[in-house]
Amino acid sequence: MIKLFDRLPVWARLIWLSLELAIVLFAIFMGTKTTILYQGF
Amino acid sequence: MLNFSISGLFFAVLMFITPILMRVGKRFRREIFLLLNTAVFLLCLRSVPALVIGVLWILVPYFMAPVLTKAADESAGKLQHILRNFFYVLMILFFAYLMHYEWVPFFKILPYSNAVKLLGLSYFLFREIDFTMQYGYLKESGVRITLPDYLNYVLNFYTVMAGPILRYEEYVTDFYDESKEELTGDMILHDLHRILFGYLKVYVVSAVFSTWAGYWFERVSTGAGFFSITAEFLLFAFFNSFFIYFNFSGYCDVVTGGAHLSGMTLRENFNQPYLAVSLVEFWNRHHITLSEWIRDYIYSPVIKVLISGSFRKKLFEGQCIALFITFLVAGIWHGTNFNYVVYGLLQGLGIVISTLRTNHMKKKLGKKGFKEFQSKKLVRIAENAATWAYISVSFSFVGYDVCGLILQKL
Amino acid sequence: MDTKLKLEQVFREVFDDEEIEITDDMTADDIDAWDSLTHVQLVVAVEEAFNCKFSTVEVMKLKNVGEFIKLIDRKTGNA
Repeated sequence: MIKLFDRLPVWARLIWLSLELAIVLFAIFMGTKTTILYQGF
Repeated sequence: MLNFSISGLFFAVLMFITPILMRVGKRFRREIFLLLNTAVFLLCLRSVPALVIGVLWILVPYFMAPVLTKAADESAGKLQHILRNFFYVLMILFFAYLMHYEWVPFFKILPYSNAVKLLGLSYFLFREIDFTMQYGYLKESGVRITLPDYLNYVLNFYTVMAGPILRYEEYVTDFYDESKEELTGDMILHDLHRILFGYLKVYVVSAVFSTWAGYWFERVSTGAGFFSITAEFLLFAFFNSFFIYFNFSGYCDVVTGGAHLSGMTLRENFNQPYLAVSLVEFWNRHHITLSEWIRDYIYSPVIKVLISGSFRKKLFEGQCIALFITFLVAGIWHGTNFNYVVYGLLQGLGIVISTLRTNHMKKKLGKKGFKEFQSKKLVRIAENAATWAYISVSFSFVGYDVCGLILQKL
Repeated sequence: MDTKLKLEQVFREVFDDEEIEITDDMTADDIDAWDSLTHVQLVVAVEEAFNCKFSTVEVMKLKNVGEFIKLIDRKTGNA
């Protein structure tokens, strides 16, 4: 996935990033209860 | 008191302003970074005692490093050697106390409050041991050692939550590396993608696996019938191991991408662990920095003591014991309740069985024959499946009270 | 006896291979059987052969044969 991303033109990469950001923000705000595996807190 | 998390607003702000500040204030990168790291440290403190403990826990190793190094010298007396070892033992005991391992009865007697726990406590221990033990070598090699650099190394907010575990030398060399390329637009986009992809892995992919794992765990808890419970348990374990992979590797992607934007290169912690065909290979692909630290600071010294002494003629037995101890300790480090002890035992046992099997097969087929056997496609698939099954089952004790579940079923 | 020659003998014993010839820039990647276990075995064998002791950090840092030889010479006063 990462390698494919690097080969795309700039405009495509920006769109991809915006999509990712949208999905992530949606996931974080729409009540995902996932936490990081903090080892040591 | 701040709950420092990659999903928090504070972290997002840090991720954004740190690269900019470090770029704009290039000459004062170290001071800027120190300011930010200290801010995170202070904001995450839960109580005043935590502040005192935290400051002592972080500063004492720095000032003790020269003393400890002198005491390690061959010319130092036996008393100094003993005192030095005593210091490290104390350090580990104090760490265990701060973590408050539930299954150690002694800790129940001592006064304690969760408010003394520090963010990233487990990881501080690794870095401080690395720094103090390497101090002599660092001084000799002319590696830069200053209090601000040490503090940045220990408190590095990118790695404070859950690693990756860096060694002091690589951190400081990387931080001051003038020969590094300037960030290009391509690199920035690449880092942003890595960061967002990491968030996706955590908050979408691992969240889904967490839900599925939780669902099957519930089914096991309330279900009956040996075969259906076993099948449900395997499903739970399988989904849980993927939860762990996506959650942890996603986190690593976020902090690694973020640190790179600030001009710091963190070590990779993952290398496609689901491709592993043996437990040893798995640990070389999963949480790599932990495996390396454990190999260098636990496995190597233990095996050295064993094969220098009573196991001189019994190398294989010595190796098995050293591996078992190493993985047991690594397992226990992961968490404070008894499930993690079982996790450690399973890892230790698995490694020993795996080593025994490899040894047996090598004797039966010869070194060359064994290599040919291992390269067959079907063998690789079977070994990959077996490895992943074993990993899943032992990882099921991470984050879930499987001990309680087993007791409940009996 | 020359440090390098003596070290070569140790290598041959530990890896059970009389054909091994060591060079200064040789690393663990050059010998198939050189893993974390045989690495420590090598160190212990060297400790016995040269009558010296290596610390945990020194064991970690021994990445190639050249460094091994340098460190041995320092410890045995042959530098």
